[in-house]
Amino acid sequence: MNRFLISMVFLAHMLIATVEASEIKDFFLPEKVKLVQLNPKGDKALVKIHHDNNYLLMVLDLTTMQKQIVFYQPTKLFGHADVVDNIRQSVWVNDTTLFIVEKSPYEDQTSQLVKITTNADGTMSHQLEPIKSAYKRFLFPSIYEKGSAFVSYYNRKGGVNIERFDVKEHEYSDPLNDDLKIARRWLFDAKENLRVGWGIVEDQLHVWHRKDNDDDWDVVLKWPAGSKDTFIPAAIAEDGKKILFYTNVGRDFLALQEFDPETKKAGDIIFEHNNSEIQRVRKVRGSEAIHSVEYLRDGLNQIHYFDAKSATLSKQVSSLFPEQQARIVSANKTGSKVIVLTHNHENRGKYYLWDITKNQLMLLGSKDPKLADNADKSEITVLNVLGKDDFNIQAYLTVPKGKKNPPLIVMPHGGPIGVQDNLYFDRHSQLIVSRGYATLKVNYRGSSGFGKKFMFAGRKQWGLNIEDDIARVVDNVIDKGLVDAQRVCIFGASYGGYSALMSTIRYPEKYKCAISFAGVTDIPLMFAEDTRMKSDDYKKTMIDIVGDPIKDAEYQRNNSPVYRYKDLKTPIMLAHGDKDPVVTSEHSDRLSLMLNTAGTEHIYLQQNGASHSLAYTHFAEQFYTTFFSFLETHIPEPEQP
Amino acid sequence: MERVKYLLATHLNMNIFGAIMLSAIVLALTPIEIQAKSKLPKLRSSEGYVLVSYAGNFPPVYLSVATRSVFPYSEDLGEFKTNVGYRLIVLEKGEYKFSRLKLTKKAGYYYLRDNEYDFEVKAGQINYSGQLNFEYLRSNSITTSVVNRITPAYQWLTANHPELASKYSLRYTGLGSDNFMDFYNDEKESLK
Repeated sequence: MNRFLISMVFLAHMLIATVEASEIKDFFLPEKVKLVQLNPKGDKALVKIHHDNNYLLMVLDLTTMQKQIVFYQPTKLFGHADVVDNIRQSVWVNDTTLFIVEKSPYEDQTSQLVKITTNADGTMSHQLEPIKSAYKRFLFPSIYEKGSAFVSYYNRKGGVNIERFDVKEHEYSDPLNDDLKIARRWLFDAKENLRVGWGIVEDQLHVWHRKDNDDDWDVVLKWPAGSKDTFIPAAIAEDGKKILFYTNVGRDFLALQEFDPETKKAGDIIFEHNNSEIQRVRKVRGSEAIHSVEYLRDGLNQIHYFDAKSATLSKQVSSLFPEQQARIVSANKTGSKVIVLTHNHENRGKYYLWDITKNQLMLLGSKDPKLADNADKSEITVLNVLGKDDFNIQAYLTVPKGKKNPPLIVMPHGGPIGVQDNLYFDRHSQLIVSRGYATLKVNYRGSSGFGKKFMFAGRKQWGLNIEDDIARVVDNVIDKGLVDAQRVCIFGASYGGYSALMSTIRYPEKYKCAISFAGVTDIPLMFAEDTRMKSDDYKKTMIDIVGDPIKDAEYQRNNSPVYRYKDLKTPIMLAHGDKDPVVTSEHSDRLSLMLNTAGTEHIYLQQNGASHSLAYTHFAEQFYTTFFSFLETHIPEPEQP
Repeated sequence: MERVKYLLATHLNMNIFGAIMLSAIVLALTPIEIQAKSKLPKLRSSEGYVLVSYAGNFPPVYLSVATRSVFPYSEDLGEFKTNVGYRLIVLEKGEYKFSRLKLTKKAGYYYLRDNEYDFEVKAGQINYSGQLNFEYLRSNSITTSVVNRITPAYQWLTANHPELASKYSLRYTGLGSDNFMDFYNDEKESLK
């Protein structure tokens, strides 16, 4: 770090707050800085900043450090929202022009170009030019045709059209995919020609390919949608002819594999990583060369660089921030200046400008200035525990620094299928840890990121092996003496709430209390809950996950807290928003009714207006105030001798 | 008679036979709105109570249910004073759906066409069709859905019509199958 000149630039809107014990609301504030992006020349940075319940766009001249607000069209808050972000997209089209897509709360969408002029005295001025763009989304600026960009939008056939936008004339081309309207996703080649499209037709993924713009589209692959095996286009291969696919066909983990559209056969594996899932592939702009492949390992995204220069640069960035995950999120055209985003389990994100030529590092802003100095107060450990069926269960234990034998809050994630916990910043865990509790997040069977066998093993294991996996990890943590075995509670949202309730039925001696936010309590109800069940696809997915409501009725009732209410002996707190569209509050209403019938004491916090998350500060404060009071009652701090 | 006129006016393209049949159905399907704490009407053997539940951001000025038949009979539930509430009516047994909704006097009718608005009326019980949710958006459109909220409906029923609630079973008859209230009643009995 010392070989770099470090300067700190706190923009007017990004002042770091003084360090005090963080209040509940501090953990739920909107991101202060949402985006920092360099223009191609690298002399200006676009910054998106939270201001007065809205977001504004500011351009920072990196030479003079002059600031200019270039877009601020505040709208009133509605409902329970803390913030309105009406800037859907904001991108540099060239050194002095921004493309902004604005979305109003009334669903109307407009786009504007912002032209920035640097005056003789070094100050900046700007001019807005509204453009016709209903529902068009900016894709990327063309590097071959200066002053043009690509946009996309849904067409009437349910596919996505791609058009070229002329920045100077404000005109759109005809759709580039006029002869293939039903594809929803697209791949461009290095010369910005549409080469591959894909979409689902009659329950089958169809992949279309063409050699060049004059060629007809050819169906090169059909694949059953919803199959356990994945086969999805990722990029055009380096030879410019083959297609790269993300696939786990014939293997457990996603790899990157070539596919020849001529022979319609899969070819070489381009990249795979032992026991890790490929997340995404990046290409070098303007070239068919692969820049990097991202994969998930031990709760963090890792990047493998195919290009030696990028690998070296990445190592340099990592060495600048040894305790953080650091990655380049924007760069100027020559690569001499980059924006680095750092984050870890305590840091929601900080943006730095790194001038590589000058070896100068500059803090531009923090996503969460109120919590920024809360860092270094907790430690996180990755645990790998052998579970039933020889599955490795990965979990993350966060403990307050310096606290011996802390009480433990087990936090099973939602889902349960295809979701995962990771090592990144989690405001819920950080809030709980800041109050002196340890948290344990378990990637039980069914979680994504650990191969398809592991993920599909979670099907129809509600209340069974999933909760056994969690209990196995809790035992491991207790056996190692990392937490106070007498002060363990379990808390989750959605499936996590369900899991908390079922865990206390399955292991009543292990958990001293359970908290369910927006939790499922009645599996059969999921088939008679609301509008979603009219969709055959949704119904099929639900049957795959929790069984058939008729054939598996016994399994569903035996594993529903509502029908097992007599076995719920552990102190329980329920909370549910009446506007929850995912797990309706009927679930908690039912369980509360049954517990009342049985005379079982419990807390039921009904949150009027709340949805399926604690995203809004008001609801989070309300919930966590009750939550901590509940914990203090049931796992109090032991009296000092 | 007022309703017969309405029905004929709204089915002008119907043949005479259909009109006569409809008139006969109308006479048999007279909805009765039960006000809170009012004296309970007795059900005929072919009738059931329907607990209509609704929630939105405006009190509906018009909401109707219709039979699911070739010549649907549509019943106007009248104007509502609150944006969230319940209404108890009596209907002949059969298959119905929420059919039309109007949130302001100037607005046109919104047709609830999907099968999610279907429900059944069984004789001799209180049929719960699910809560009809609606939201009038500033973009001059309406979003609607139906959600099974039988527990708060049951709580409303026992608070406002305890005699009815003790005499007749409340059962969900909307999309899908849900026997929770039977389970609840059995458990409540067993715990006595």
